[in-house]
Amino acid sequence: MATSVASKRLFTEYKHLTNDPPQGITAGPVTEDDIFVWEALIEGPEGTPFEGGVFPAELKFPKDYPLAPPTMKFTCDMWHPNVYPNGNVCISILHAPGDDPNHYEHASERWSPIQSVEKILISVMSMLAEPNDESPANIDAAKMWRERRGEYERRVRENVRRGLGL
Amino acid sequence: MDRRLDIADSTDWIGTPLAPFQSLENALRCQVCKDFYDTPMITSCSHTFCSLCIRKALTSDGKCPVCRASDQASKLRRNWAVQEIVDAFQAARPAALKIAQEHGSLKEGQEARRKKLKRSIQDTGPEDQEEELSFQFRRTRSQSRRAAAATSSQEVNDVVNGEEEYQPDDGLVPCPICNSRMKEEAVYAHLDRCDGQPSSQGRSTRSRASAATLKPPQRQPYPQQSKATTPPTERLPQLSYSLLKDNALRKKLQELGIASWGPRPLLIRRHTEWVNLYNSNCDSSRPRSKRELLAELETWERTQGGSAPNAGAAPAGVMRKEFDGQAWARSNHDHFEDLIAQARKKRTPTDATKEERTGDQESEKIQGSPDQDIDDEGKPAMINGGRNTTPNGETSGSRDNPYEGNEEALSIIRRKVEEANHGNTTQRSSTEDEDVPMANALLPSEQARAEEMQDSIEPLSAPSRKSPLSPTRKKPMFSVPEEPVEDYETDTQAH
Amino acid sequence: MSDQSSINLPQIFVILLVGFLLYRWFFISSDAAGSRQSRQNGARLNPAQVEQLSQMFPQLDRRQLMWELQRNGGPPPSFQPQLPPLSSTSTGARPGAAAVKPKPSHPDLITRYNLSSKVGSSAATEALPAGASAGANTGKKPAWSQNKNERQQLLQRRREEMILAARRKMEERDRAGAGGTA
Repeated sequence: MATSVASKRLFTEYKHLTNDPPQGITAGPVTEDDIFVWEALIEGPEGTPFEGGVFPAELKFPKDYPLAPPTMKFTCDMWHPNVYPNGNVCISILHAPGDDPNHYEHASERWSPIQSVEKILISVMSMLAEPNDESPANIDAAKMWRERRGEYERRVRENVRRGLGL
Repeated sequence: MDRRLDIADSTDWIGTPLAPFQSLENALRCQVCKDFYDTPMITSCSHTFCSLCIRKALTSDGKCPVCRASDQASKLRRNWAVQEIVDAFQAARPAALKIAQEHGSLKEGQEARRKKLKRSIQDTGPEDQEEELSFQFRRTRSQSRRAAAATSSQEVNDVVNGEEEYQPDDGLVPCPICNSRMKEEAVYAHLDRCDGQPSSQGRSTRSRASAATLKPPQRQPYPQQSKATTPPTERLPQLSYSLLKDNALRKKLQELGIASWGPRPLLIRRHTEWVNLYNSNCDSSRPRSKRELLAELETWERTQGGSAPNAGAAPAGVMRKEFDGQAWARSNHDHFEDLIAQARKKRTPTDATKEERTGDQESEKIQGSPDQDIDDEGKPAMINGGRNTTPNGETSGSRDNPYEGNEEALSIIRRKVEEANHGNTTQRSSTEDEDVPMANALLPSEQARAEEMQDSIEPLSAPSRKSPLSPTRKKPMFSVPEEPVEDYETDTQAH
Repeated sequence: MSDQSSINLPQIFVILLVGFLLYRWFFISSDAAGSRQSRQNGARLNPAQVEQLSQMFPQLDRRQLMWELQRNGGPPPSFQPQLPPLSSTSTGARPGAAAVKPKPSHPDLITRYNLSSKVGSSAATEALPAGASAGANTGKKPAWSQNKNERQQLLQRRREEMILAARRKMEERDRAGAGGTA
């Protein structure tokens, strides 16, 4: 396999994340034979119902990374307004400025080649803490979050515990 | 592969006494490729990137990646100072890192030595230090791609004055004997009468003197440009593709000496890529030969271009030798999941006949078989290529193949295959409306469940069974494509 | 004589043609000889089939598909090669459309990473934090390794540690909660 710009950069990022991981984040390629698919573990931010949980997600990178953003998909049960029921994460940093599915995001929050896996994961962490109500990916979850916060939190906590096998 | 192993990163400094170097190194890295600046260019908004990185970014969305100000490739200017800093740092890095790591592993906290070390790195320190530095420098240089072009560079380095390489104007090339700069076409004529004396009209004595006294490693020149790698003088213009017809575009590509096959979008992308490669090479102080650039383009072709998996979305790309099947499969993963999920959904026992019916009609429509209703429910569900004749999953085959009874699923998949055969990319148009975000349904752990479902579903799916399994049906599905059969064994082994 | 020795245009043409044919013949025959082995399979195992199958079953890799094809001697009866256990990243079994109420559709992390053994034994729970703290003590020693496999293992270990740590914390909290209420 030829080492393209993308794979080289991914490798650099992998090393960076290995040597200097941000708090509560572990990420790396599923196998180094294919550097374009990563698995990340994110800790639930403290002070939120997600606290104490560990959430696995899969990142898929396009071949023209970093010009185009990766996609991210939680591979666990994730009850969150900005996460589609199938696990796909809908967050502005994962959208290129060109494609704007929701027409609300500021261009400054969008994907740009200077972003990185680390920044994505950190953004997702903060998204867990503060859902973006304007662009619900999971309408039911958004509704619940807005109207029945208690139920929402209970459900999230339940998922957290189940995720840890408790 | 091995090249990847020695990828340097700013985190190398973590844990060493020189940890602050991490931020220094970060500052010397391009934010796009996260590598050291390679031919840094400054934008109109005063951000610096590698030439190739910023050119690609600009062609992709025309904005500065950092501040998103609009910019144009033609407005980029070289940032020589950054280039020199990066080169100097890269040269000093291995030695410094080595010392730092050794120091760290030996014993912590010998402040004095660390300070001395720092100083020695920052302003060309003691003699021995210096020697080690330059030794290290040579080692890495020869590893690096640029120097790889000419491994004899070390000797040359010591002899030749390097200032010329930093001439901003690429239009001139140095005479290999006397180093005077002249137009490329004048070199041969000049060589005939060159007396070998270093030219008096070369660089200013000031810069020479300074180069000699400072003697930072990178001031040693890069390997002399051989005649083959004379720097390209003119940058390629961007084309306004919308004005060009296919044939004109193809011709342009041929003129440039790059491949001209493929559909129009691919041609455009290839041309863009080439223009970026070529122009960034023009920016470089140590341009590479066209052959190297072509090799680079070839890499691009394999990873993102026409040979890449999801490029054409057509079997054309799929059939190519370098085709990355896993990536292709992965990229379509969700799609398949949806299809499978739909198929499953349709045959779930809870869905009453009504739904089943619509599903059946749908699949029949697609298969073009005569309209049949489900009145032949009681019919023994046999078939499946005659391989497994018992319907209720008792044969060994059905354990392996829990879906064989599921004609719905199969019909959809078949249709997909059909479409793949015809290079049709607009799949599942008819089932689109039922698209429910569902995860994939196929799991071995569910086999028991699948079997059970299979039993209950058998009669329902009976009608649609006939046509797809008739021999005439089978044939086009796996018909041999036009392209020659390639050796897949070796191909996949290479993966 | 000179007439004889000089070659005229048609002759050149003929020679070129013959040369080309010879070249082609050699090229093709050698090619055929070289790939006869694979061509035997190729009759049954053509790339189009593999391709189609790999499109249909993206979770399988090509080798498996080819093997499947070879074993079944043609397109498998039902396009359903034996499924290997899905990789940990792929989603778990989503119950069919029947599932209205959300159910655990993903295996929990402990099962996914086969950590049940480590969770249970208290020895492991003691050993792990010790190891973790030891790692922390060595001064943020970079977890990078030059060796690919080692790297993979390190990553795996970090994942496991993270999960186990979270689980331990949760258990402790449970215990504390239970103690508080009781």
